[in-house]
Amino acid sequence: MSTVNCRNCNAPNPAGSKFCNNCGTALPPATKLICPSCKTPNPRSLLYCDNCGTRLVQQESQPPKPKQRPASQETAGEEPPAPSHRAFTLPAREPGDIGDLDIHKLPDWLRADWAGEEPPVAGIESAASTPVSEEDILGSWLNELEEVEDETAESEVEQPAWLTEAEPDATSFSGDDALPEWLTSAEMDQPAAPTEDTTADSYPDWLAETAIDEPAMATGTADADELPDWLVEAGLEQPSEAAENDLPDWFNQTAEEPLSSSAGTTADDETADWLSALGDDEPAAAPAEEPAGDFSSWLMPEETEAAGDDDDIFSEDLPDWLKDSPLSPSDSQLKGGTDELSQWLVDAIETPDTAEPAPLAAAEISPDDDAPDWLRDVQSVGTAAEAAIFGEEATLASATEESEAPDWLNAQLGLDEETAASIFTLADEEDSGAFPDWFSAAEPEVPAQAAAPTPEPEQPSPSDDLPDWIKEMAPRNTGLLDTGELAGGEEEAAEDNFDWLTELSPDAEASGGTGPLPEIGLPDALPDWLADLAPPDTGSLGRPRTGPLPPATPKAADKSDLEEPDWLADLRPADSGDDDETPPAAPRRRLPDVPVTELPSLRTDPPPPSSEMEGVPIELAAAELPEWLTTELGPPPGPGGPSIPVIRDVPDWLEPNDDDDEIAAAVLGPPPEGLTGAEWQDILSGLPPGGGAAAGGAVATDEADIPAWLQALRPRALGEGGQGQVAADEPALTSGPLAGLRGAIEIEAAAAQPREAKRPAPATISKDQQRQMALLHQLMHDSQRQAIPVDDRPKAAAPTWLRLVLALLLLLAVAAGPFVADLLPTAPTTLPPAGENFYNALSTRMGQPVLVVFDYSPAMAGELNPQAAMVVRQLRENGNTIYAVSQFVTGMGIVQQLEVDPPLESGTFIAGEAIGLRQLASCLVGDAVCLTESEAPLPNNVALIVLVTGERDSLTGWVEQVGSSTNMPIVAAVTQSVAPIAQAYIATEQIDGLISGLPAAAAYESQYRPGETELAAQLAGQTLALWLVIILLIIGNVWGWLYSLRPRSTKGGA
Amino acid sequence: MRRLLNIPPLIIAVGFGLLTLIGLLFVPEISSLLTGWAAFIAAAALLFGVLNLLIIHLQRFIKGRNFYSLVLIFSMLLTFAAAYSDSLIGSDFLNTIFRTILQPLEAALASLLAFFLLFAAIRLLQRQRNGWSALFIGAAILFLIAAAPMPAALGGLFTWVQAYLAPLFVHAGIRAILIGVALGSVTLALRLLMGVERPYSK
Repeated sequence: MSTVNCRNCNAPNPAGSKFCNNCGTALPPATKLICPSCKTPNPRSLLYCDNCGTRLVQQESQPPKPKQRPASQETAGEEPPAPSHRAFTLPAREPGDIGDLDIHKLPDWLRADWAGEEPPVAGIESAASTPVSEEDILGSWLNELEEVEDETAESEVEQPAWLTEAEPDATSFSGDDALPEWLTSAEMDQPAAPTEDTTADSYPDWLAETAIDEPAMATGTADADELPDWLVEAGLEQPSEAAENDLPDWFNQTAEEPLSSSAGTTADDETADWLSALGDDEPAAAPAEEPAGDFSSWLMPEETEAAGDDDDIFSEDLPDWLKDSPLSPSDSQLKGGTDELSQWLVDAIETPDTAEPAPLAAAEISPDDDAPDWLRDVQSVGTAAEAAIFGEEATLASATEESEAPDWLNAQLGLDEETAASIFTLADEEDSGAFPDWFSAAEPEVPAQAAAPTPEPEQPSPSDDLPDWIKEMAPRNTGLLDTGELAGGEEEAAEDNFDWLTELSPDAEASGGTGPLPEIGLPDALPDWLADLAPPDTGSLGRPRTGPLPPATPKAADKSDLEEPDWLADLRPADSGDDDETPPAAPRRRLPDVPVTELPSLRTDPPPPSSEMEGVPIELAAAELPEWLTTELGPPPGPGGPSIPVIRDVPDWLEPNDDDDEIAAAVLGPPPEGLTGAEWQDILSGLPPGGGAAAGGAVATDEADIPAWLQALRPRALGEGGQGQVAADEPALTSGPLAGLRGAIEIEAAAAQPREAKRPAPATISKDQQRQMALLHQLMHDSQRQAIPVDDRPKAAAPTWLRLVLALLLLLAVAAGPFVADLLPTAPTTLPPAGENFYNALSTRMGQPVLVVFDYSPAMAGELNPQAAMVVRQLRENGNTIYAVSQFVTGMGIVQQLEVDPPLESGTFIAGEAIGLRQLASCLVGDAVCLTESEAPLPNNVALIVLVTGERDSLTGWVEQVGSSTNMPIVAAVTQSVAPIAQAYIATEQIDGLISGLPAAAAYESQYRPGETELAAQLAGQTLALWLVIILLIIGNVWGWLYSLRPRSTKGGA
Repeated sequence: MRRLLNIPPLIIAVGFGLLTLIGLLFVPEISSLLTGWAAFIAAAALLFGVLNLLIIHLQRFIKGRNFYSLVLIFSMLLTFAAAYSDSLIGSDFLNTIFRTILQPLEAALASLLAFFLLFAAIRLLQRQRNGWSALFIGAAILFLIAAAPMPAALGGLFTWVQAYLAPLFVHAGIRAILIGVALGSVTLALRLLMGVERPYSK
């Protein structure tokens, strides 16, 4: 889960949080992908809407395929997988490519992004082994660029003040929150560099950054956009035409450009040159209020139209890399460099009048908000150093002009002749009044120790003459560099002194900052470092010059002395010797006071030669370049390219010297608060090799000396590695934070387009599936219609007439039985022995109580009622007391229907089946009183149990529950269906006598009941019905069997 | 937990079963007492059954407008009133109901059963023509002949059938059935007493 660090407390917060969970500070809103369908904001990592599922990213949006791929990537195998869908693409490093990074050496502002998690160890291998997201690789400051696209105000706040005041338009940038432009400009302008790896080692970082590989250099085309500003800036510093003769043509051509072209004094003109170069890259039409456009144009300067493209001279003569250098002046400034001073120098002078809002704006925006310390140092020191240098240069120029400023300078300064004369004639004076007031006012700003021996110049308050922007910057510098001990009586003067000016003087720093500051403008007043830096033959600078400078002559002996500005001489190595060929050098810019704990190892080894200088125009041939500059340039690009000088080694004057330690000690002064002297010394001693250089680097190292570790952290441009050319062919983004950027995947625009969600195609169901579904539905819901054939034979439905015939036949057989007894006389049947025993059991218990059980239902009444009536009549004849009982509810009803005269004495219902029979048995044996529903209870002396039943359970219950427990004799009159069961009990003598069925009852009647024919007539009807049934069964089955044997074709419906 | 809940019924069933068995063998009084309790419980169950039947059909009539439930309730109340009237005033309403309604209906149902059996037997070979059907219908015809009275015209044609076939096969079959039922009853009794069979836990 990605986190967003709070800007206030640096606490990590979950992505998407609106407020810091730790301090409550409002967090920058995260960029969301608005669903085109439901307008739901979704995180950028989603492809489909979390609410409605609509695809947020257009599927067909593929990143442009690189048309060119640098050889370095091919060899290294670093081909980033082309993402099929991404919200948008920022110039980023390759996944896992973090360079030789030691996370422990990272400054806090970079390490803050890794808070809460283990940062990747240096090395691509380790990082490449695990997939690292883009956000992980990119610093939080870069990730925030994506998220706070609409927070221009915040960007402005985070923008360093020095950058703001130098680049008014920079406030329109939206993404330059924490990245200094001088760094990003160099980074973004880097095209594919096949020898990038060697370049980084061969050149000083600042030079490698600036001199990298414009392809146009190889062809010798000098594009104004490609000329490093610092070199252009240096080239424009030619004060006179005499110097131009000795300078390279390309340099002279640049100097010939009218300065008035930049008289417009635009905001860019007022900014630092190297920043102006960046500003020139911005599209002119890009509105300042459109941060995205500015950002994109700033991000891809090569895609925008340079402001000075109409300048043919610069387009032709200046190499691109030279023109794009951050230290080079803008084209407009170059145009104005026909005279001694360039426009940017004039602008620096005019800054108090024209660029006043910029420092004010910078002052309003607190640089302490987000910018790291070293960046703040850069902004203050660098700007102050520039201003000081520029001021010195102007002053020196004016001094050498013998108090008569040239017209061009007056014109550039916007001063009338009187004012100019009043200013520049001060150079004739012996004191500091030889300099302009504003510059003279800066004189006391040197450290107090340096200024202490110097007589206090009688100058008005420096605040009166100094430009405001210098005055605003001065306190910061003093706060940083004013480490010298102030004399007690001079504290007030020291407050007014610009100590930061003193640090510009290495000699002053070498002297511990306590030496007297030489008066500027006079040979004695010149600072020692200026005198040291001055060419040997420019000793005039070291002397007090009271008279006007001689006119500029083409003589070499006077060129550097008179026409060449002192600042150029200052930048030139003191031991170069050959002043004639000394080209303008880039004004060195101080590296800010990087905290020593975060200061990386500075490169001290001379960079090896590299071919990164390919494309240096032929105008920069070694023949026309001074040696000291030649040493900074690399070898010729190759046989196909022009012969150009190549920087092989760092010049000696850039190498640390023995005085660096002293300089550092002088500059650094006492340990800051919170640190003891020992700790401070430890810190100083812990600096990387070249401590003198480090110390000096903190003071005098050029800003371009970006350490490798920092360069390794920079994100790579989208077009880096050859893709920049590809990106140039791609259409620029029209919206979003990357508007104007070419080569980026226009994702947000695609996602923002309202697009209907693709509905799935209607499901097609095959016919087989439809049949299966219908069958399933029929089986589940419509089972009646589902015919489950038993076999394939036709349905053998009996005809209705057959059913009616059978029914009529059965009814006739049963009903006609009594009437047809004579028609179908039955054979005489013999009474079985069980029947005779039945009669004997009744005959032997005459006059005794007999329990007659009527356990049959009315359904059996037709068969059993004649038997029961015959038995009851016999018992009555024998004089037995009859107690009727039944386990059937309808039993008592049957008893009521028996036409017995006299009627039975009592009757009762025995509930509980077996349990009731068990209780009855206990009652019969005398253990309990047998209660009946009648008034007379059952007697205990029952002699016989006569069981009339048609149910098997009743028979078994009476035999097993009552007969077995009471040993009472049981005789049974049962139906023919129960007769087989009763026969079993007859065999076991559990039943004494049995009359089984109508035939036996008829035989019993015929044998023992003479004169009764009821059972005989009933038997005749039953016999007829039975034989009819037998016949029908036989006929029917035979017919059915024969019917089934018929062929199927002849089968009908029956 | 469920096993614990099954233990009390098991103990009661096994205990009373053993006690009844012991009472039947050694102490008939105990057996009679227990069977008296069982009869009382059965009578109470019958009463509760009747009331439950009445309530159910009342609900079905009220909620489901079931007309047959209303007829059943009406018949129940009418029979109860007739029986109460017979016992209270000595009327013959209950016998009349039996004679006029119940007995004819049951006789008609039995006759229809005979008719359905006959019709199914006639079409047996027509619908299911196989050996078992033929054997079944042959045995039915044979035993009908053996059980039916012989017409005088046939004389002693089927006397041997009635004299040997019925006692041999029918009695053997019935005794086998009775023995099987007895063995099953013993087995079931043992299972109940051993707690293997728990119909009261279902």
